Amino acid sequence: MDTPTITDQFEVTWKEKQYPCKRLLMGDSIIFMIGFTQRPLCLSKSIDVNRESFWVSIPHDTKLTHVVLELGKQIDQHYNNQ
Amino acid sequence: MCYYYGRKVTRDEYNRLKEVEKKIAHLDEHLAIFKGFDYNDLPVLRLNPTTGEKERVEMEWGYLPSWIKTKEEATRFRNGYKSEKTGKWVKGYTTLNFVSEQVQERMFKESLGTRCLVPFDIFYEWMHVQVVGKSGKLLKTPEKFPYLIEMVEPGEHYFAGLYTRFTNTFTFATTVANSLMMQIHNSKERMPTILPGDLHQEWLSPDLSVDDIMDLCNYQTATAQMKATPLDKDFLKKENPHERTIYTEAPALVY
Repeated sequence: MDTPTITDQFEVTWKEKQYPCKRLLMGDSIIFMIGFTQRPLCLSKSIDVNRESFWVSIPHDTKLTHVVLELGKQIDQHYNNQ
Repeated sequence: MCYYYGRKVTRDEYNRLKEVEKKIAHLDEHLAIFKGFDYNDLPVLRLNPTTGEKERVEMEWGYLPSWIKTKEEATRFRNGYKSEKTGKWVKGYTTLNFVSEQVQERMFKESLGTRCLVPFDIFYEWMHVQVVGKSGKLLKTPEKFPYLIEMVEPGEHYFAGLYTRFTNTFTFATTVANSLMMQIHNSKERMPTILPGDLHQEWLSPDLSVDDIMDLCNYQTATAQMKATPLDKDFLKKENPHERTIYTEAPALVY
């Protein structure tokens, strides 16, 4: 199994609270792990058949769609602002 | 074409996401540093008592013998307590690991039949170095240098563990330190019993004799199969404690 390497760490905001977000390199995939207290949330950027990118939670959980959209946007902003 | 999260993705992309799912299943274990005295629940491998199939389950690290029935008793057992009868302090037991040579003489004897494998990829140990004070005398408290220790062969490795179903807790064996661990863990001169691949199945096998168990408990991994990296003294306080920064003041090791 690939051992994850933390390649970046910053903060994201959810419901007015700050949470650590770690960028992990696992093999050839990049995952963002949000340090929610009870259980970390893992996000990854995927691409659909029309070559449009979108954020997904892994494992897939449709109940988290709004969280994924919001946090994915913040991650994009973090890198766009650099 | 396949669907992931309601989006149409290529089969390659779908497979990649599924592969990431598998990797994430063990992510928490990889990123966490477990400190013994936190008494965390950790994954161990054992044979299911009913089916005999190998399974990965979580148990508390820090063995509690079967006679411990309550949380209060567990706390007294681990931390010690003041005896109501004598008023004297009764010392607690540290059961995060056990001395292999004494396993038949101590409380762990009752769990010789319930063996498990404790997965790890790295572990830490502290070298104690005596320091001469201003008065020219040795100070009571030695200087401590942390080392990250790992196997040369990458991947998941296993300590030889014992568990009890009564308290759902486990411990693992320690053996005499090899020449590398003798330099690092110089305060105790012990090291965990790390079983190589061909002995994993044997350790879990229900048919082992006590002599077999003792032999496996005392298995010593060769220095050539291990490597150690000195770490900053405050590495545990870092945002990423796994970051490997070579600490040049640490005593050099002889392999």
